[in-house]
Amino acid sequence: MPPSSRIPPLLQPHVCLPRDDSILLLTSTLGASANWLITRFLGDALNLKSGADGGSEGAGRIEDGEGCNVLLVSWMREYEFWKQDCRKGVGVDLERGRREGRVVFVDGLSSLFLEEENPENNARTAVPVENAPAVRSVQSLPARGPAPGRMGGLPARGPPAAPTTTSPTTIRSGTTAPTSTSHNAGCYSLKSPNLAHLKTTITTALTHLTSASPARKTLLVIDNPDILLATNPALTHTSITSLLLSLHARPDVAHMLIHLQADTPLLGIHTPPQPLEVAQRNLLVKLAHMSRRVIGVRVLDTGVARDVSGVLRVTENDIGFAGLKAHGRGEDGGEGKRREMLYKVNGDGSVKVFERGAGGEG
Amino acid sequence: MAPASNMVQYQRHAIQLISRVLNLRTNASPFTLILDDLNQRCSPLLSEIIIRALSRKTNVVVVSFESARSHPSIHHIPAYGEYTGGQLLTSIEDSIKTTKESLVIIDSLHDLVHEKNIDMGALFNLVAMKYASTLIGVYHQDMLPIPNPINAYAPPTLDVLKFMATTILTCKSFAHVLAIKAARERSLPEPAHGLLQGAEGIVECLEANDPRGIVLEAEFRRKSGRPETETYFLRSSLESDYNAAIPGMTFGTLKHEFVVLLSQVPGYNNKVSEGAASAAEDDPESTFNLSLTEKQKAAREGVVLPYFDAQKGEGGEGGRILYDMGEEDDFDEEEDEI
Repeated sequence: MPPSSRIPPLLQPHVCLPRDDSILLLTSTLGASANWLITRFLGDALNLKSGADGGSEGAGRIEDGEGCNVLLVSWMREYEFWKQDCRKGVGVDLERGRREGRVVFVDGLSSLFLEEENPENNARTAVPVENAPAVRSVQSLPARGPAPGRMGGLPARGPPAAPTTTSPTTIRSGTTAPTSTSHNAGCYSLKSPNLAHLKTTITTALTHLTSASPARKTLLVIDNPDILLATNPALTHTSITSLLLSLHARPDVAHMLIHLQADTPLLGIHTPPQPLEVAQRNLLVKLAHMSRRVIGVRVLDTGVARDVSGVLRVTENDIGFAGLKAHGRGEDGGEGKRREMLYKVNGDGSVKVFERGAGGEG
Repeated sequence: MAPASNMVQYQRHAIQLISRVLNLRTNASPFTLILDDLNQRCSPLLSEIIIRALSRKTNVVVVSFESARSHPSIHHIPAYGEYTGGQLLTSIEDSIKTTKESLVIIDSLHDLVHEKNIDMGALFNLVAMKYASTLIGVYHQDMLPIPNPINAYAPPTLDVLKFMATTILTCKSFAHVLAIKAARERSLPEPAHGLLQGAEGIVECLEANDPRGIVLEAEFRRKSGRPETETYFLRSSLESDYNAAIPGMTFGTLKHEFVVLLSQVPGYNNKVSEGAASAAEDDPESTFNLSLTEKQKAAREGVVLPYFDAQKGEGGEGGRILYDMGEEDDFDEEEDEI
């Protein structure tokens, strides 16, 4: 089965990236995970060539038809999960993309809060660390790369029991992440919830992508940046949106897909309002104001059903002034782009998307 | 409402008021506050104002907290970046001091006030007083106010902004306005829309940002201090609304004003269009099907009732009951013998 056909036809127009550079917002709730949707986006971005003849809906594709690079930043899942999910769900080999320099993964989960002084104690996440020259600076955060002995092979991440070839040593690197030539894995990891560190890491990763394939633009997928709000009370929603926008302002970044949680307990307002509620809600609302397309998944309103996993709602908006023209606002963002569908994620990773009442079994 | 001698005069006056604001007439409104939310974003309104401004060679400056991309004709200040409040004011001044007439748009006053700590008074002085330009600020109503840690008794930002503004435009989705009107006419509770309404996880309504147009609740503060409030409908613009752009310009000028009072909109006034949406709610709820199919309706229409027959030429066939036997009828002889 060609990978593009793994994306259900009803979903296809909503997963394919808009023509203009834009920000897309994806929201999910605790009961309805949006990971399957993120992998569909990844699949569509990486597989544009094979999907180009997949119908008229492909009109909104990137101009050169080459697809785009993908930079995936995830705070909730590790690389192994995304690799398997992509292979199962859309038949995309992230590993190959990483070797070809089309995919870069930034890991915000494995070592975000590790004590950097005694990494030996944390055998569970013992990862080989590149022997970069030690530079001390304000952003003293270790960066990680593959061990010298494992160049080009699988990343030494994932299963906790993976034997490591070198004893892990933590090297403090400066604000510039490692640029040595041995760093070709396309895997970076975040060591601190600090925004400056995040920006440095993503910028380095972007540079890595651009140097590998300069012709293609990049889709930046940011999975659950709201974790930062919860883990670092000093952050405001504005600092996160500022960071995202300054990344989006880079010419090599075409689209951004941002995944946030929209659970009521995170947004619901108590009196007096709790700081996290205010921050999360303002972040969500502001990003929604900034986004061209808002896709939300939630559980079925009427309860649990065997053949339905949840509800998918897509709303498309014309925002910003980049495409300012004297007519037709709302013509292309019209009725066809605002709809609600049901979906069912099967055990084998495949997904069915169907209209209400159309039935999932058929 | 203005005391107008007749309806036409009143409408003309009201359209004139909003038209002066949209076309940025001098001194029409130095500081316009636009209130929007996710149910109806202000971008159609802002685009309309920007196009009209650009078509008249006004220098348009957008102080942007929400977008990294912009149109080449617009002077875009990326305020989301590392600017401090003072630097931001300086760059705004740099961008407007060379031109005679400018329009400064702040796309998020919430960020401007809370994050950059810019005093609205200072900005207003700079733009409206010093350079006699127009200031338009957008405030998203669904953003939560951030409590002031230093002075707990300070008034909320939005109240200060509302106090300062010379015109306040509140954006509403046309579909929601129709739904609220329909509910009011039936004395039903008005529906609520938006974040956290309905089910968990809903961020945006499906009827939000109606592509037909945008409803504006406007409050104009006259120089005398007298406020006037009206509700308008700004439909989405068409290419035919504008003249062709002359060489060297990006946009052509407006041919004729197309913003109307909401009460003039046919879809809002007549009951048929909205009745279709709510007709289903009027039927009593029952497990029986009380409606007729088309075939049943046609059969019912075809029945000739006795009194129609009596009105024919020579009076029909008297007072007899005319009855044609159907094939399923069973002729009862005894009945005639009575």
